[in-house]
Amino acid sequence: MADAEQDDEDYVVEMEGIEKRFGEVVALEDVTLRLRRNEVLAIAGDNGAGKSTLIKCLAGAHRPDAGVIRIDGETVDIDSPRKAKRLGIETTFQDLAVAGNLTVTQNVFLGREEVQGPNTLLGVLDKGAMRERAGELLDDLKINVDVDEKVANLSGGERQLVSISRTLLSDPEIVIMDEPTSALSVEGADRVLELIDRMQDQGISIVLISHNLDHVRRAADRVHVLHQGRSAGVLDGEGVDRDDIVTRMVAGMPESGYGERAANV
Amino acid sequence: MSYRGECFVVSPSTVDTNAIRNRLSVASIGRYGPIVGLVGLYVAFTLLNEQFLTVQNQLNVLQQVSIVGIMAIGVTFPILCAEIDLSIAQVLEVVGVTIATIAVGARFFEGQSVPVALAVLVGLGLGAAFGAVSGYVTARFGVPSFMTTLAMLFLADGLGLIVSGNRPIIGLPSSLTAVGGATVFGLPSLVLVFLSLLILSQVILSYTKFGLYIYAIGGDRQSAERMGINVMAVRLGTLVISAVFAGIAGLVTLGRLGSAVPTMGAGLLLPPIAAVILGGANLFGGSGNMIGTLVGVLILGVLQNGLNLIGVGPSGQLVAQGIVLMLAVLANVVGQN
Repeated sequence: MADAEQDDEDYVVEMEGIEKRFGEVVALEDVTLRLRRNEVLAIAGDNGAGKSTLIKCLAGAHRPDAGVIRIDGETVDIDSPRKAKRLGIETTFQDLAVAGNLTVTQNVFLGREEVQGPNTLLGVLDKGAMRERAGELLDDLKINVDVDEKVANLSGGERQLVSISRTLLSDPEIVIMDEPTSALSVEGADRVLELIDRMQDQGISIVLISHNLDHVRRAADRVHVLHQGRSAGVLDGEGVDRDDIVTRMVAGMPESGYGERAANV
Repeated sequence: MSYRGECFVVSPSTVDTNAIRNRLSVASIGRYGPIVGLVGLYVAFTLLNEQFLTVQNQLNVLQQVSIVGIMAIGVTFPILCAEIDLSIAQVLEVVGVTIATIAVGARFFEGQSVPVALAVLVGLGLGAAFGAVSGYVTARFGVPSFMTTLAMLFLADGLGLIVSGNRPIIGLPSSLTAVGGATVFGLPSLVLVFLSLLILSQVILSYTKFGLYIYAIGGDRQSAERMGINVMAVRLGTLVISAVFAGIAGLVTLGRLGSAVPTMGAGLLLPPIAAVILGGANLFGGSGNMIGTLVGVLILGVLQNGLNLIGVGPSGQLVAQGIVLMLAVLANVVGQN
């Protein structure tokens, strides 16, 4: 299968020649990732392939040692998570960042509360406005949970939905999702995958990291495979052959037919 | 997908529903237990003694619980935030004797008396400083507040003895003793101070970002940190509040006693903490409120007052308090899990 990458596309993110080392260990070497506007791009790869390191470079948690990152065609230096957020990049993490003893509304707004008067620690919460806005946000995403419910009383899937909707509060252009389905039941994962579809409908461009190839094939327009810190090809998600992904995950970029490189490694 | 109606399929969703229902009924013990307990005590003592449910006796109860109550409100803040403050009784002492010594111009401050208002400000500032030190070391360096406030306990104790020369300070200005010893509209000022602070504190908890963050951090500090909350400022803030409230308790104690005694905090460390837990606040932070603390304070106060009226002495009262506290923490932990 030919790599599905052409240069006249409208890319919202371009990461070119990214390299990242941790001491002697080379985590990423000359990786190029391009995210098209309004697509879901999955990153697949075995443990240690560099998936997390790559998206952390985009989320501002790591700074690449070499390479260029462009957002909407402009070269940017993403030196902190805060900077990434300013550029319209939000990230959801694998281990749910939610506070169980707080309500859905409180979780959606936590750390970014709307207040009446000066915005200090003693600022007075505008509870009505936040509740209304959280309700609208969840309605738009067809997430059917009570905004006044304590998050601890929700199922794992619902908690993940709340955690994801947190990232959408700031109206981001790009959302990075690190293993959003890995800790969930089948039903929970289903709902998260449906949410990813709806986010795409709303015009958001998404980078999805997942170990689950069924989820990858269902949600992604394209699949970028990483192998030992290097790109192992980009495949069209629709109708992508599962074995093709697995082969590249295990053996890297095929040079002359599958499997040969594996023998050389 | 969930099945509704008359369908008795054992699907994961029906199991979930049952689990939630069971937890709700157990959780309701934790939630309504304290108020049921308090009402039960009222009913029992009303039946056992005709003097118990009189206006005069109820005012007595309020007056008796006010000092412990002010301290309990203060220490509710760190407890909700999954911290603890063990220094409150000694901060009460050191602030009380400092205010008295400066206002009178005695002992350590011999011949240097200052206006009462300034003395009060200096005293409460000293209290805040104790909270700030333990709060900073806890929030900045991760030393458990159990240890930092224990250190403050010794420090405040020693400083109180130095300032007062280990002797009572008498002859306090009447404007100073009025704060805790006057009567306003037929109510002891002590009680008014207690109830005002209670309302103020509940407003802070319910309506400010600071209050919300206390719950968020008490529930899961790491999550709160990752969600962008200034965890350090909030943890420090709760210990400062607790120390200032202990200081205010010291101030009103001057009015209650009419003098400052270097040992006036004796036995006042644990009742406030017990009251907070009796009121249903989670032992490990994240849930509880000031109404609960009020209920807890009243349970302790009513128990003592009622037992007194029916002729049970101090030793019997301690036994009863121990039993009630054991039942309460049992309900608390069972209710939370």
